[in-house]
Amino acid sequence: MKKQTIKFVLNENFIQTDVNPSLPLLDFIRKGKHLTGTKEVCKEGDCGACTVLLGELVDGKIKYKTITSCIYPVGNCQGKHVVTIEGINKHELLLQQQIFADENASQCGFCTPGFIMSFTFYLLNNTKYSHDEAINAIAGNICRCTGYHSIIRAVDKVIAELKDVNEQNHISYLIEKNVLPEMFLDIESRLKEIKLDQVEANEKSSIFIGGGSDLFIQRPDDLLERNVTFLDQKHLNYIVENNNRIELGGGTTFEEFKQSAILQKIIPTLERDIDLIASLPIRNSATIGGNLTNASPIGDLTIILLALNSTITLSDGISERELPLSEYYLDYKKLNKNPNEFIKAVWFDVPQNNFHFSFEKVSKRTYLDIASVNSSMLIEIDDNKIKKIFILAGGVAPVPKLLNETNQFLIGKEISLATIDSSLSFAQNEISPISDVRGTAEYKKFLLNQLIKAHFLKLFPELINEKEIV
Amino acid sequence: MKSSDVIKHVKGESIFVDDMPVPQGTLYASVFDSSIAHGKITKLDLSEAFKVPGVVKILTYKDIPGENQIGNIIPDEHLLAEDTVEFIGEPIAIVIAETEMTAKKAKNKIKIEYEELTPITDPREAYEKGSVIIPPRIFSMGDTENSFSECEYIIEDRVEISGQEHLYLETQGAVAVPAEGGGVKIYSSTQGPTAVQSTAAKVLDLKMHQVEVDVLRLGGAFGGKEDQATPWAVMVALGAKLTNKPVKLILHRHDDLRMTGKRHPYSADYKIGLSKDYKILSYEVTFYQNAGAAADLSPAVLERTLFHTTNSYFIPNVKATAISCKTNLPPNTAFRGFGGPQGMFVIESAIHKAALSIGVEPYIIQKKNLLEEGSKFYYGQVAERVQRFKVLERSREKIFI
Repeated sequence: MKKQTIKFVLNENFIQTDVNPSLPLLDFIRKGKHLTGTKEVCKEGDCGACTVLLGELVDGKIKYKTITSCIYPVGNCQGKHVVTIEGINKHELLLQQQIFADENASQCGFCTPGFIMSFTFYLLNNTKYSHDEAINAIAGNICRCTGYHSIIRAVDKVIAELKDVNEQNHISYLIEKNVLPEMFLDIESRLKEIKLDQVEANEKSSIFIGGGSDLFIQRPDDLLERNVTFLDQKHLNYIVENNNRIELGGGTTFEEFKQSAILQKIIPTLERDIDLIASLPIRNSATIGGNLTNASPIGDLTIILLALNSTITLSDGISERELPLSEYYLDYKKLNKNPNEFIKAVWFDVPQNNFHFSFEKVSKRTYLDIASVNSSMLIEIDDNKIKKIFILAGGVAPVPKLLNETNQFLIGKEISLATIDSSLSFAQNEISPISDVRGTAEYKKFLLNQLIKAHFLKLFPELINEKEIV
Repeated sequence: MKSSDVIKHVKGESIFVDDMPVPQGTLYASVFDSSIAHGKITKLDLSEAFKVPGVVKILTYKDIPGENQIGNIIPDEHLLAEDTVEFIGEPIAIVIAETEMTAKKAKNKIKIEYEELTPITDPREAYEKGSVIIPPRIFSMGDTENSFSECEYIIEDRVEISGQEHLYLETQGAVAVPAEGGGVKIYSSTQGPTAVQSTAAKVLDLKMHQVEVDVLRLGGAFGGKEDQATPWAVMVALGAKLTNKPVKLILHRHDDLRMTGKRHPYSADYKIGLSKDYKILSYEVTFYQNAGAAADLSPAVLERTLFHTTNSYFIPNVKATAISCKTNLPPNTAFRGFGGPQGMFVIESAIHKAALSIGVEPYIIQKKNLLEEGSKFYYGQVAERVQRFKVLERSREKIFI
């Protein structure tokens, strides 16, 4: 395996290490550095007990985010600032720690450092605070003891103490308010001093890691023995609009996708939709390229990007080729892709005229769960008649499924409940769900019908009477 | 009241078993477990696993110096399977190696063959086949049979209650360090230090005083570490005793989920009888407790179900039968409420079903039958300072208004 020296700042210490870059950051922190405040609980990014801050220079300015260190490779930390609970601790308690203690927002204590880190990130990353947003920021953290009420009380008390935020010097303000230690003041300049080695082309490798949020759940041990390429080092995260075409880098994270003003114009409910999909630390690491290449028949972003008629650019580091996204999926987890190719970019044309977009999903748990069935719809209408329509369905076939026959049937029809009802039999004929842990085949068929109705009801409440829907 | 730990917790400075610095030369254990629910082990081949560089020892039941027995209430559970396995996740062998990764790799090289036997997972089927942990227990008061004839409404049905995973955030784990004079010191995340101490002594053939158990704190347990922290602690103690080195074992979440017991699923049949003015006159119930493959704490959990059979109601005629059924699942264990919730769920289901078939709100029946000042329990205790009515009203306000 090719050796790569990894350089980053861990709390206030400069790290230069030849450790296996596929080692999960959590193992490096706990076992390598004996920083045991960061806890291992689920080892799959679901509980937030291993949450750390990750700071990165973006256009010369440091920008932090939270990640779940249990499924984040050390190799993705090049040139960054990793902050654990030990890194924010001062001799006396920080404001948020004091209030968590006062409100008994901690019982056994195992989840607590993760909550403190997620919440500290929220305070750091925002200059205006609200109850709902603060709660959303800790939605990726699980506590089994408290029942959450003491934690919610503590969160509210902290943000009430920080009403008068000074936007100019946010970090200085937080240091003054005893929310952050002084260490945060000079990190920007310290990161600028790190001289990173030139990234060697390593495209011969058959494993590409984006954010690692799926690969490190599925096969962490295997990754330690494979030659891998860390796409993070290629900085493929961007979203641009040019001549009615929107292009996204393959390394764009779910959170960047969610926050994009360009995309919010196309998908007005984007923020709600993405919040449904994954918790903040996962949204901060999971990438579009990873989601598409995972080839899951219920990939949420896959279903969204397919409905937008996306095209992908595959690269092997030397040459590139373009492929309609719909042709990327051959069969269950089988891709039209050479082992040495990765998704460099995704683009689609901005829908024209009177178009609407909808995404719906049903999962066992409402938030942050794998869908039983998901669906997206792009529709263009003219005087209540359907001009163009793309309905996609996930979880009902071996691949994310474009409902061709259903779409064909609907084109030219006037939007009404009767039309939608008649289209459902086409949808049912196109799908072949299987019974599994996320529901029986029968249930998934039912769900798809309901989701198709939900798209229309949500977009055209004036044309569809909710009461008549069964 | 404030926990004295909370200041350390919010700084992440509290030390849990996995956070302790390990002594130099510490070895790591990995547990090889059954992949089938019921069967005879026909072949166990450790040779390839033993060849992995860094492997120190692979322990089976044959290496146990004392008794291969960890059952607490009833001695019916092996530390390591002998000839048969009775649930998926039943420990068979312990690989001890220089690193965690080596132990895991070697474990994956163990070869095993089984002669599969038909498993039982349904408690009713177990009962029919005579597979029980203890004989049925019956609590009764008054005369249910005769009182049914006085009832205006009689409702019968069946209730199924699923299990529940503890999901303590800190998985099971322990570290054992050899001590002077052949003893061991065990650092365990257990709710039952004495159970760990006495069981380790029994398995390792030591005196109680030769086993020291240190429990600094637990990262959640909820009953899941009352009896079920014991096997892992005893395994590392066994490893430390036989290698004369410190041995550490922290279960991976998936292993913990697969190998440890949960809240008991129950299946129950009930018959409830009410007078014209909704007084519950008679209640008969049979609980089939799904205990899993060994007793663990099931008999005590079963009793607690019986104690809570009538929840907060006074019912003059009651007959409750409870059967702890032995199935091929990981032994189920203590979990907050300890059998109480299962008993309460059945009577509440009966009241709701009765309300539905009579056509009144369940609340009407609940209110009518709450314990009153002076109501007598099974053993003659008299209820005093009864708050039930207030509690019901307040929870109604919270939930419905």
